Amino acid sequence: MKGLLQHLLRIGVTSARRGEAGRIRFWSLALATALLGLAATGLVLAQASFDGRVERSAERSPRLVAAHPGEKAGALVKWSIASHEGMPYDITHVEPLDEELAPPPGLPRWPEPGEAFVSPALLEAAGRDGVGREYGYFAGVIGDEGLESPSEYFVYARPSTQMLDRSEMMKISGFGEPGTAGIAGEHAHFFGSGEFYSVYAGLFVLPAVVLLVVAARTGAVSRDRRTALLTALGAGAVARCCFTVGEAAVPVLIGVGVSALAASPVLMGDFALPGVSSTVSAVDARESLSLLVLVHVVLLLGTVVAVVLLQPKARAARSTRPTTVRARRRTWPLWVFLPALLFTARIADLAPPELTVPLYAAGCLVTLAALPAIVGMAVGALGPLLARIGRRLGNPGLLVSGRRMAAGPRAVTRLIAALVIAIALAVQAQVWAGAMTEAGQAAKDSRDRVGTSVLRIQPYASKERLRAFEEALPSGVHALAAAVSAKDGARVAVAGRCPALREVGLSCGTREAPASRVSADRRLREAFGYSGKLAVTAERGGLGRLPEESGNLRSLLVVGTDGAQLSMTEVSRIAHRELDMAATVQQVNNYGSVGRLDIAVDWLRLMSLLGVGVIALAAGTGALAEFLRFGRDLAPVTVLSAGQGVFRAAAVWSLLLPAVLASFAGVLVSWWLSASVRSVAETDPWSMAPTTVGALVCSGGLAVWGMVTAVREAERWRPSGA
Amino acid sequence: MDEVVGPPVLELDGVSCRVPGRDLFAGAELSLGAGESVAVTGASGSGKSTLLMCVLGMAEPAAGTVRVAGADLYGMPERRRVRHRRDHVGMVFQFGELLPELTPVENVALAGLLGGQGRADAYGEAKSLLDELGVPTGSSPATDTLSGGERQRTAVARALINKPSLLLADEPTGSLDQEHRDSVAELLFSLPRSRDCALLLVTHDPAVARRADRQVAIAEGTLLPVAASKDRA
Repeated sequence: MKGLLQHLLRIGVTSARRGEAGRIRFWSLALATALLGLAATGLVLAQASFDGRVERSAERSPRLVAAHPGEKAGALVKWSIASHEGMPYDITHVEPLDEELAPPPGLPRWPEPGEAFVSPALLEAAGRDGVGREYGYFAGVIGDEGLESPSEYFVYARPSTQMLDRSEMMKISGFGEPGTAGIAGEHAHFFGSGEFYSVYAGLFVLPAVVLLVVAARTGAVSRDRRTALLTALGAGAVARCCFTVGEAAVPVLIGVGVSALAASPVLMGDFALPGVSSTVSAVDARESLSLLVLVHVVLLLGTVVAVVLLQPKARAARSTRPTTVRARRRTWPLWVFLPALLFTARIADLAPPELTVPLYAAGCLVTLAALPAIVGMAVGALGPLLARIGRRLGNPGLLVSGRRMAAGPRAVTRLIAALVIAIALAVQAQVWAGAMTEAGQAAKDSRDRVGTSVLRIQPYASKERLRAFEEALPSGVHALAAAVSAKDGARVAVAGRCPALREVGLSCGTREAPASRVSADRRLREAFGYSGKLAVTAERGGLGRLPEESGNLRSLLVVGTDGAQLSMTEVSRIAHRELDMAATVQQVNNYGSVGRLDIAVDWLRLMSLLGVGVIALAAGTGALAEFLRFGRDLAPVTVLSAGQGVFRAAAVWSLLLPAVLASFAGVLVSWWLSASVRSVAETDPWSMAPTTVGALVCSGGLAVWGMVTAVREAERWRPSGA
Repeated sequence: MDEVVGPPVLELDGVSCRVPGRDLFAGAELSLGAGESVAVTGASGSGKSTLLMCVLGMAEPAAGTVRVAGADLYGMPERRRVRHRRDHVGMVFQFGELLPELTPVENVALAGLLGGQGRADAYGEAKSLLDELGVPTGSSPATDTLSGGERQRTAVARALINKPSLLLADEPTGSLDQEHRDSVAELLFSLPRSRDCALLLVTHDPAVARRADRQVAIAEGTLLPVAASKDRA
């Protein structure tokens, strides 16, 4: 028995290279395994990164004395937020009370008064003269152990003695709050692990699984026949299994090897991911080395098991003779598809908020997994009609295609599954990216209109500091204090010296100067005038003349003469030196969300590019293998009848028609599925036109590829048997 | 080599073929006329298939000329050769090579349609041929439900639908039991006279070969005549 099984294994290995469509299956199986391995590696690394981020965030998280009353206060902290090029980041302002207390993780020492430690990524992005001077003097960079990731923007700053305001700071006993998410840091500004895994699963893992299924079933007809032959010869399930394992073993091993090799650079050093501002920490990657090894072992075994399970049961194929593949008509996809389609589109109304994203992802997966089978059923039902028409018209291509479509809807399903999923991925990515871009577009538009010609500064400090700040501003830069009425957002009180008021079109000396939103200064409109009319009250004198009742809605605006662009770094430096130790200087209407959305969109584009690329491979493999068989089957007729035109017709009916149907179905279903996203951010239906056209072009490409493959295979065919 | 019964349909003149590792046929001469049948025998791997491919115009000989229906097959451009093959050659393959999804009528008509026949002609001729050859067509059975003999008869009908002047058969009875073998062989060897075509049949079965008007054998790479013996029993 052992000898037999070894023999079957060897036969399997040999036939993997020599069978019909053997090389296509061999290499597509290797590729699918490699991509699945990379997808799994990505998951492990993502988890390691999230874990590492959480761990380091907790380790640097201050232990608030308020939360640990028994502990002695050793330092004071305060947080503020800033942004660079739309990317938000946190600044932790520290003031040691006990010089013996260990500094925050990643710092070699406590900063001196007026000094700042900056993360390497922020230093590289903003420059030493920029961020280094913004918070005082540049003291050094924060070490990796004090950062959530190598790409994090982060600053530790110690207020100058002059600006130190202990009353606004919190007492801490040290750093390290295990088991809690840190208060500040990268994790607070970016998407979380749930969102990441949902997108990753949909855009990368799913396509890799589809490719594996397509690869495993490539050349299915002749291989199913061989399985039937083995069964007829008395092979049991174990023997057939050995044969299948033998067939899959080498390509799967190659795939695992490629995946392991491709994953190795992340273990050597920090790895910057292309297209997204993110770096995988080598430390995190090494931490997960044993898990990565385990994943590849599981990948090896799991892929082989999956390939075995994807083979038909012995009873499905009764004959070794070349026959029509008469698959049982399956109706379950219909019963799964419709409820999933309806449920997923209305997920936001039906599911609890915390489960919306995972349930939406699951709903999309189920719907899209069933859709190819639905299109396959439709095409299978169309087959007899096409055959009848073909027979009536005497069109050989239509006749043959119709009969084959009716006989083997599963082949059609395999063929278009990849295309449907590619379209779905493209539509989802487009809708989400569109929604996210739309959400940040207003802020971007505002930024584009006024740039840094007006900056908003907080807090509104004491009169002395306001005066010092105003006096420290260079010539040509004017400061205004502004307060939005708490009762009526359209009423704004502006205070400032006459040159500043005149700069924004307000007359100096008028007690109250109502102005329409249109007539107000462009910079004021951007700062306050989003809707309705803006009633601006001008108060001449100085920044400290704002009425008290305005309370915490007060802020400062800085404008340049004649709309000149200002240096944020310089204004920020002056604000930190003269106004407040934790002053924030931002472009108006840029609340730090634009960069965050841009990052998400970048991730989405990277993932969808990967996903659609993998799926295109799957679609191509399916088309290639299917038409290899078609070319081989028709060759005996075409070789004698000079009828190569039949391949053109067959490519149109067997490939182009299902692919076009799948394209429209894919776009429509995906559009329907994205209803909950579109309910939040309106998306123009015409934005689907490029995806639809792209899918149709791909369909045409598939048909041409299939036709060329079939013609070549037919030309290569030679009668044998004598 | 032998007396030609009708006008020559196939003429091999000094044909030698080269396959990896050896030379075949050593300047073979063979003439085959309409209404005549020749059986080619030889051991497996002796070059029988190479000879058929050479005659089909799919394997250019290293030397010599192959004339089919009066035209030098390899002296014409590829496209014309393909058309010439379509107009003059039919072939029956060892395993039929039918499309299992189609009905027998459709399988036969397909070759006619691809050969340029009109729809009505192709289907009418296909039905008529199948009826004549004893293949059931009444309730449009699927091809894969036919017996081995019926499948080969369908393949014969397909080979005949374009009215070839030269009919090639590659081990047409190789996959059949004795009963079906005899009936298919009888059908094939009756065709040269009933259809006024020439038949070149490759077989390793002496019983089938004996039914031919003449026999040639491929031995040690050479095409040799076999003593004439016709057994139509």
